[in-house]
Amino acid sequence: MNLLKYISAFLVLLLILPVAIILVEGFGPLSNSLGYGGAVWAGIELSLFSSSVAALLEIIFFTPLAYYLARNRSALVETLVDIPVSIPHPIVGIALLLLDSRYTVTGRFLNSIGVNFFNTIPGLVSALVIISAPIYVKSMQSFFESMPRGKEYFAMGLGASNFRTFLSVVLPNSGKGIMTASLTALSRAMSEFGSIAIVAYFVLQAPFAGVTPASVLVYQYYESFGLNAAVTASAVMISVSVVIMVGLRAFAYFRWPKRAEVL
Amino acid sequence: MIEASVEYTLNGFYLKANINVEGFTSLWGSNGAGKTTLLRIIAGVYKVQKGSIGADGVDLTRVDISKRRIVLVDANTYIPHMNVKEHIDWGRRVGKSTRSLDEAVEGAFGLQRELFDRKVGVLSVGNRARVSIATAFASGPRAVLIDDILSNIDKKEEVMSMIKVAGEKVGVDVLYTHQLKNDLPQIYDADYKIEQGICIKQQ
Repeated sequence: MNLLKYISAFLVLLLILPVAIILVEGFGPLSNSLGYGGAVWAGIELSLFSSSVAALLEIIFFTPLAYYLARNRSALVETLVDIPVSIPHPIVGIALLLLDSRYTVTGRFLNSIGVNFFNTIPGLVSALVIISAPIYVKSMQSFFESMPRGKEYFAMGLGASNFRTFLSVVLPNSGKGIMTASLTALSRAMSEFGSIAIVAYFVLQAPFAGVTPASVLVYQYYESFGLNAAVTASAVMISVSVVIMVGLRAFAYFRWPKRAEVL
Repeated sequence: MIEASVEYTLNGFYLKANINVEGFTSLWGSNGAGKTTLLRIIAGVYKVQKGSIGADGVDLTRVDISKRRIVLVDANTYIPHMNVKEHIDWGRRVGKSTRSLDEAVEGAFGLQRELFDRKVGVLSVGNRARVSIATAFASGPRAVLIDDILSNIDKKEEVMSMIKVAGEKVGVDVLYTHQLKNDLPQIYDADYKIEQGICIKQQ
């Protein structure tokens, strides 16, 4: 008997159950037309858009950090990177508002160059980057740590600098790691509630003027219209997320069928 | 000539070597004798704990790996997504070598021309080794350290003498490691044996 298999199946079931109940109830007994409304779809679009932008920013700016940490162990920097994960997310939202407040130096500076966080797309994306980047960095760091380093030594021996080795040798062979890490970060960003409920519970800019992010919208529906609308909206949101996640993972699976080319 | 006189301790393993890499130099010893460790010390992957490394009067002991111009080649030192030509040219460019690409490509040790547009990652193990060595030479190094790579190459003797000739032509010293005293043709300028971390010059 394969005990491990049964334990795994049970645990997966345990994780899937809350999702399943939302889907079954949301599309079934509790189905409510508000949950399929234009505001829900707009909210899902906004969540997808802002989370994708956040994931993209993380790929561009945080991949080098993850590589640096993988090659130069630094307990201090690693702890600093981890802090946003360990604080309650509403506090991240409050912190962003303070950073951007006209009562703080940073806020006056940001305002003077035209950056506002409160109910703006930059505010929304910033919150998502802060809460999901640490997850991206962790995942990329362990990917880089598992890479054999012979090719990097070879490149540096030829005369390439650290940075050039990273760009020309490491990065082109990190597709799979980047895909996996950014998918995890994307899921995390799409599900974010706490920070954005404070800093950007709706946004003012086109093309999303007046739109509320999906997770916040579900909460608002729960408060204003009760269970039915909230559960139906959740079911729609979950379905879209699942389709996208499965699609992206399938792409990754077929693009990198075996283990990634080991460096 | 690379002159290394080093002592090194790693996880309880003690290594002591006094080695001059000049021309085509052989270093042989069984698995775990310390060949790879010594190569890594000379190349700058491992920092020197005790002793010194120099080349023609230049002290390299504390010189960073990317400034040392000593290339370490083994079975995995290739960049899979580049094609053969790009690979060799990349080495030439990052090494700021003054040689032309055509000259550098000639050093690909009998690799068939029709493979030049293939990605290095899809080549056979032996052909990858040829590309790695050619790339190492193309970068204009002081020395190339080859870690037991020829065991995967057919026409071993031919390739070996090509490496020797190529090294002599561009004035690059080569240190080549292998397992047994007599497993390769004796065309070395110098021969070293390493056993349980102790490196001894052979006659």
